[in-house]
Amino acid sequence: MLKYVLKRLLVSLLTLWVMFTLTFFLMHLTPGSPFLGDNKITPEIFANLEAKYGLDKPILVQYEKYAQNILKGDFGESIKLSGQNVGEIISRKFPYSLKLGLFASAIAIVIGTILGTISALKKNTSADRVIMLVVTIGIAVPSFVVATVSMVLFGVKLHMFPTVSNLDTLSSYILPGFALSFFPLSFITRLMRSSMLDVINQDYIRTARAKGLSERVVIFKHGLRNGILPVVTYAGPMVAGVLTGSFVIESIFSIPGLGSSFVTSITAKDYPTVMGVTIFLGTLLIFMNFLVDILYRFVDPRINITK
Amino acid sequence: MREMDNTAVLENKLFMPATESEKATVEIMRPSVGYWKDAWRRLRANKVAIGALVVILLVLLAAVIGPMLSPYKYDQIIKGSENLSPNVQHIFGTDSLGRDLFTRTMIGARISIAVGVVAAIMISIIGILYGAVSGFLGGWADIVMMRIVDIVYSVPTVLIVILLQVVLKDPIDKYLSSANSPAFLKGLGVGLISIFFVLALLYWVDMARIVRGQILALKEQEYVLAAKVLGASSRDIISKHLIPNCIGQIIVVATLKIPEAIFVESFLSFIGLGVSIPMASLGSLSQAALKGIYSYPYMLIFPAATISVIILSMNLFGDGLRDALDPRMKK
Repeated sequence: MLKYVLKRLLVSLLTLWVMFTLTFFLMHLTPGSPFLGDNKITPEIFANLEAKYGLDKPILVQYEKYAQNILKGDFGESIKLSGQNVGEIISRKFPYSLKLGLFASAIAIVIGTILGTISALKKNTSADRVIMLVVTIGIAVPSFVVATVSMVLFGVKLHMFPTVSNLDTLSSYILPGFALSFFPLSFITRLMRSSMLDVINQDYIRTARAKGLSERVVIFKHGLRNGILPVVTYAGPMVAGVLTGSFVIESIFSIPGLGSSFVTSITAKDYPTVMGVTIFLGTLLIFMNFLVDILYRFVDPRINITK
Repeated sequence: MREMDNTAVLENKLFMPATESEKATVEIMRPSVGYWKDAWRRLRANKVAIGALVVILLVLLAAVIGPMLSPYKYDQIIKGSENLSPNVQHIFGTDSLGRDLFTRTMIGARISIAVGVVAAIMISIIGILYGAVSGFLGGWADIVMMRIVDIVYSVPTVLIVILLQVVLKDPIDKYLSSANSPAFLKGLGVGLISIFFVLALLYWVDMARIVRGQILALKEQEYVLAAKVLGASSRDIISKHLIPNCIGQIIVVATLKIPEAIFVESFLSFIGLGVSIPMASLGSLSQAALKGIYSYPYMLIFPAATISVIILSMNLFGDGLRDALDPRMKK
């Protein structure tokens, strides 16, 4: 087990390093400078600015310096929002994204599992068909479509929920949370359905029924606990999906989170912010994947970890 | 003793020419059903997949010849008819500059489908080559190549996609404005070319994994050994024996990559990193509609619905194709 954890840790660290290096060189090898924007500046000011952000040094020196700073937790200073540290920006905005992401993930996992189980137990009934129809659509419709359509429908036409939100009340979570969770919810439902169908045909379920256990115990204790395993593996990619979705969802609902500021800093060529956010979110994702991989082996003892 | 018994059974009549009735039993009663025919039969029986195929063909038809039949051009600005709701002249209405949205949606569908297909082809070429080489070589080369795949796989794709999209813009722009760049590339524009780049660079991993798995299993088969004994080169074995034998899976993966690429393109265009104006893609149309969403929701509905229909039918068709070409992969 320890060997496996170490090996996975090594791969994760390697991935992190590759991502870091890739991000750094991509950002720095491109021609053009963030300072040469809309307003003209004199060569002297330009040189001063370059010096201030260390952009005048050789690229390898910059790389080393940046790596050291990152390891110290210093993400550097934002170019567009002058005087603001990227680390501060992240710590100010990330809570919004985290809250929304957790809310959406919780909805996706709970409702997805329930719908998938119902669908599997009532296979080929009309309930199953309706659920499958909805989730098939859910997988195909991009999150920005779900977000905008639900905003117009429930926010503008029916006035049921706020369309611009600071995530301060529960009702302001509903629309962005729903838009963000629709895809993972649909995916989990399909995953859960096929895995439950697999499980309820197993011998141990027949044994459980033959012992005379109540249907509730059979489903919850023997069926669900085995059927839910594939959903655990999906948790890693789901976090990635929820974060990606949040890039657009946050802009659409004007939530002051990390996703919307990432999008704006890209268009503004605010390199330190883009890099900082990329590294922050990337680390989060890689760590989540690592955690899920390890967790999966704990949850399902049938998996041979030495392999 | 036994041998003598055996020789006694071999009578002359056993060596007579076969009679007509005996020959008839060897005749082929029915033409044998080959792999493709069998797959087509399975696919045809799948109503959902065929329905999806029909929808795809209709959208394709509208996207390819629709704009030519339309009385308006996609970038034609009609003064005095801005922000029209759907009516007889403009069945999807017009946008804030007075451009016909039906034509623009058709052009957008054309762009989106082209992105999907071209990206799927590029992904397939890279993935097949990488996977085939890795699987065929085996040993250390395989281990190293697969570790690289693992890393590319766990790098958060969308972050890198966005980053690449930003970074690639300038060099491509420079190349395009230089004199010796081909004209058709100029027609595509910076946004589209960098989308192709980005998709090809990051999305080949699944294809490589599946092809490698197939090749690993197939290369132990006798016909590969026979080819080797006959002196076929590794290249010939891979391209003439191994890859044709996993073409089913390759087609399935490639088909399912099309909607994925369309998804990524629309996402990028939506956050403003996709095609350049006045070109329209379904993602950029949806994004443009966002500004007037409170007053003119129809501007969003049509491109958004089109994109959903395209992705949905491609997904359904891809699933059907998988069941038909490779029944073992059926979920």
